[in-house]
Amino acid sequence: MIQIEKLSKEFVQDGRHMVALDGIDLEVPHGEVCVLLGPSGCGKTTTLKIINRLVTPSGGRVLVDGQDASTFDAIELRRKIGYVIQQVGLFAHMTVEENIGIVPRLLGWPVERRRQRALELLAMVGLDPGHYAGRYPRELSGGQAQRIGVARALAADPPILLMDEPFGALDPISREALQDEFLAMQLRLKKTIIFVSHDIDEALKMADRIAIFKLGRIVRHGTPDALLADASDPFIESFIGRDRALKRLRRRRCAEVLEPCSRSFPRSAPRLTPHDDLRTALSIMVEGNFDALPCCNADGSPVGMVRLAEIRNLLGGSPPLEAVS
Amino acid sequence: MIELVNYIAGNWPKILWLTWQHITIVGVAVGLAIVTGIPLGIAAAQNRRLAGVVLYTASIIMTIPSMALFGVLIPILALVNRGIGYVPAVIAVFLYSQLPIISNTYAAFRSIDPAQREAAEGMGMTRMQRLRLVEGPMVVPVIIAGVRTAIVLNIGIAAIAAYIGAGGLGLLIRSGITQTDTRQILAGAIAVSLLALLSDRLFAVLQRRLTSPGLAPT
Repeated sequence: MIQIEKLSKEFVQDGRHMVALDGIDLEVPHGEVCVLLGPSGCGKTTTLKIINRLVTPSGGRVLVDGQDASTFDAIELRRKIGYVIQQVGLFAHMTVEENIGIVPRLLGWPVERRRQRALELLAMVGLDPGHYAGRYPRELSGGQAQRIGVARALAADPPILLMDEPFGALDPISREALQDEFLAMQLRLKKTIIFVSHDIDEALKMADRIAIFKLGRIVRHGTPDALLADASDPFIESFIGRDRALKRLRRRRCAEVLEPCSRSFPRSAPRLTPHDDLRTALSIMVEGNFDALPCCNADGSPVGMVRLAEIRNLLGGSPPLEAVS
Repeated sequence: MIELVNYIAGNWPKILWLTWQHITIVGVAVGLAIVTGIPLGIAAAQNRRLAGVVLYTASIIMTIPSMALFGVLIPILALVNRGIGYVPAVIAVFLYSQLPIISNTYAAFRSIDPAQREAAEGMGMTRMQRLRLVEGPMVVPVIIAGVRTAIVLNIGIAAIAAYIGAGGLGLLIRSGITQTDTRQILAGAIAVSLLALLSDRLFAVLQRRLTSPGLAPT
C-alpha cells in the first residue's frame, strides 16, 4: 500500500518560483492500479519520482506499507519498486536477457537463476525466449522494447510498480495489445501500481481508481465509474468528453444486465456473448434498430437477453422508453 | 633499393633502439594525457562553461605548429635546465594528445541516452554501479578511439622532436637530410609509418573487443 500525505514540491527555474505539486493526498491500496491522469506538466511524473526518491519533496511524505519512504535507504527502496518509463531506457550494450536480469544482478542472484527468471518473464510478456533472449535493444520494435521494459521492472518481483506513460510512444494497435496483456498479467500478479497517463481511454481501461491532476493538485479521485457518472466539473467534463455514457458502457459487460429470455428472436438476429461490453451491444442495437438482443455463450447455448431499456437504467435510472408504435 | 635494404640490414639494432625511444616518448606522453584528459572530459561533460574553456584551449594548442611549440618550450624549460631532449618532446606530445582524448571523453559522456541514465538510477544502481555497468561500457570504446587518434597523430609529431635532441626515429630522417643520405631518410620514414600503422591496427582491435555488439560501431 502507498499513502501520499500533503505532498508538495516547489522549485526555482530561471529565477521564477514554480509549484509542481501543491499538497496532494492519495492512497493506493495493495493490489490496485491507480492511474494519475492529467495534461502534461501537472505534477504526475513528479509524484512518481518522489515515490522512488528520484526527486525530494518540499513537504509532506510518502508511506510505503506504512513506513515513511524517506527513512528507507534510497537504493534499497528503488530495488523494491519496479520502474517503467515511456522512453523505456533499455541498456543498449546489454542483451535482452541481461537487461531483464539487471536488478536481480544488483541483488546478487546467481547467474543461472537470473537466466531462468529472464526466460520466464520473456514468455510472460509474450515474446519467444529462444528468439529474443540474445537480441540487443536496437534490434527490437517499440512494442517489443516496451514489453521488455515491463519484464525488466518485474524481474525481482517487486510489490510496487511505477509506470510513467509506459505505452505512450506506441502505435494504437500495439498499445491496445500491451494494455490487454498487462491487465491479464495484473490479474495474476496483483501488484500495487501507480500508472501515469494523459489518455482518458487508457485510464478508464487500466484503472481501479483514477486521480485527476490539474496544476499540481488532485481535483478528482475515484473509481472510473464514479468519475464517469459524475462529471459535474467543467474541467473534468472537458477531459472525459461528452461521450461519457459510451465510455461507461465500454467498461460494463452484457453479463451485468442479463435477463431471462421472455420472447423469441428471429434466427437472423445478431447474438451477443456475456463477455461483450455494453458499448458494443448498444452499437449493434442502434445500427439494427433492435430494443433487445439474445445473448449466447461461445458454444451457441442461449443464456438470456439484453434489453436497451436495461442499459439505459444502468446509466442513471432514467425511465424506460415508451414503446414506439 | 638494394642499398636501402643493405642499410637496414646493417643498422637494425640502431633502428630498433630508435623505435623503442620513439615508443617511449609517445607512450609516456599519451599515458599522461589519458590520466589528465579523461577526468577533464568528464568534468566538461557535466559543466557547460568548463566545456567551452577546456575544448577551446585544447583546440588552440592543436593549431600550434609543432616546430613552433618546441621553439616556445625551449626557453621555458631551459629555466630548469631541460630545454632540449626527452622532456620537451614528452610535453609537446602530451599537449597535442589533449584534444582527441578530452573531446572524445566529453562527447561519449554527453551522448549517453538520458532515458538509460534514468532507468539505471530508478532501478536502484549506486553511482559506481552506474559507471561500471551502464556508462562505462558505452563510453570506453569512444575514449579508446580518441586515444588511438592521439597515438597515430603523435607518432608523426614525435619524429620532428629529433630536432630538439629527443631521439627517436626522427633522428634517422634528420641525419639523412643533413648528410643527403636517402637510405637513412627512407629507413626512418618507413619505420615511422609502420609504427603508426601497427599502433592504429592494435587500437582498432582493442576498440572492437571492448565494444558491445549492441552498440552501433563508432
